[in-house]
Amino acid sequence: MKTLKKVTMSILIVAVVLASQAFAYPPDNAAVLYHRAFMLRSEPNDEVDKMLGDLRRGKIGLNEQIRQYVKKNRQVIEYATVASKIENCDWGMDFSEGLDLMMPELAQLRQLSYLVMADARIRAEKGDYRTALERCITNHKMSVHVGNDMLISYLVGITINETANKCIADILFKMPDNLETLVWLQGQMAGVSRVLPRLEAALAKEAEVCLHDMRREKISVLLDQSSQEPNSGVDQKVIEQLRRIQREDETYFEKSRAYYTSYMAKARSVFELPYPQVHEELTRLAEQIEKDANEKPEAVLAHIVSPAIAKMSSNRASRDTLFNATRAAIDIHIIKAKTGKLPDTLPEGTPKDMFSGKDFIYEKTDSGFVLKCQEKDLDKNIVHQYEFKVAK
Amino acid sequence: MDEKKEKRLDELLSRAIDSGPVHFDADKWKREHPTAWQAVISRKTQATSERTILRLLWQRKLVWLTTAAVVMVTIVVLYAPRRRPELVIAPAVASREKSPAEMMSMLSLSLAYRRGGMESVDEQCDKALKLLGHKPATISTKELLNQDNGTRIEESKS
Repeated sequence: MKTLKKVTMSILIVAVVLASQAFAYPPDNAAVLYHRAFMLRSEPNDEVDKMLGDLRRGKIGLNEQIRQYVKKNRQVIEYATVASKIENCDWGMDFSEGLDLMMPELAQLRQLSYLVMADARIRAEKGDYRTALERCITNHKMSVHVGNDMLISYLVGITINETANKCIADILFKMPDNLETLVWLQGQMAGVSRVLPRLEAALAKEAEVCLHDMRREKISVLLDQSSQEPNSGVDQKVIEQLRRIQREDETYFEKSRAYYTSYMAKARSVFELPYPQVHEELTRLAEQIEKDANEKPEAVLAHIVSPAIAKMSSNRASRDTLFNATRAAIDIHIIKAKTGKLPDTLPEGTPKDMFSGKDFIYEKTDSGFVLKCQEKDLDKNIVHQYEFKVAK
Repeated sequence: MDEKKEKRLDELLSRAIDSGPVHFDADKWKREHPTAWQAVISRKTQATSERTILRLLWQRKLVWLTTAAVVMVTIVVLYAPRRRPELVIAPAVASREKSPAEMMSMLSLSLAYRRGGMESVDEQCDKALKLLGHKPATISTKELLNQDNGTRIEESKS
């Protein structure tokens, strides 16, 4: 009798475990929920699409059409929010596709992030600042889910980060002092900063894929894409070079792959240096490969497939600096919430300007404060500064 | 030998020897006069062979004539003065509108970045999504079931 009881109990336990697994939510892969969101997201008409773009760029404020569009996509935003909290995100990419690798999630995720940001602004308008800021953190986490795969996905991730940080600045301006929410936000931003997409990781994967495709049979893909658009960024000289490469033998491709591997290894080795040195080294490397392409045949293909890494290093510094400026602004807001006024100097230990590796220059203004960088963005030849308005 | 000729031969024999109506038995004659029968057969075969040889000769003549004609045409084609055809190089790839999938390939997006930075990537992403078309915001299970039952969503809503 006792044995029968034990067997019955065991069967019940197994059944309960299996049933709980069958109804487990959320799934352990964020991409599943993102895809549900993509399938359900209503494509805005041209007018609303333009409005969403202008709202993102700060050209216009909220209006009724945007509110209606966001309301229609409430469930979509919910899926994005849940997905962003899942650690693992596997988009199911087949990296063996090489240069043909399809990345449809980039366009969709970008649009989804704009939708989430519009909702953040609507929440802030209603006075629900905590949910509004949660939406911004959702966006940051979405960038983490997309930005580590390839260089192009890294860049899309940067765009999503920038949108979220600008939205946080706007919300902080409107939000009355709320120490609890600010401390919560400070913690969330510190957490996100540790997992932000890394340029080195994206570059390593990109190099792997390009190396795989530096074969004669793949040149036609490159040629096809380059020739399709007259302004594809690849000039006629490169197209002619590709046509010649198509007739080369395996020895040539072996030499090309060796050259490319060495070039990318040199590029990756400088990323730990401060920004001005990184930019200088990468610019020098880019000039070297261009010179080699005119003198050494094996450098031609490597030159064609190598990314604009110097420009990307500036993109990275720009993203990290804006991120740090936002974190510094939160620190300043926390002091204001504690003391009732803006501090006279920058608080100790605030994140730094990544262009110079030094503290931001902090200046109070009539409408709030400004955080200035101490070094130039060498790609754009400008010194960035970030303005934060503060509610009186 | 056909029946008409046999009948005529019977009549002639009958009249010559005046022995009343007679019948020519061909099979019996073949058996009794094998040499004569062989002579008749060989004459027929010889005539057939002669016709076959003539036909073969005629056909061979045709072969020779055809060969000669081909040789002459070849000589004319090879040696006659003519204009060289111009070397026409077709464009490697015909210009065509990219599909949304092609627009979202790694290479295509990288080229867009090279062309105009993130602005260009954004533009390409937007274009791809527009080409994919509009989608509904929500499809509930109830609406799907209504569709499955043949009821239009609009009708079920009203």
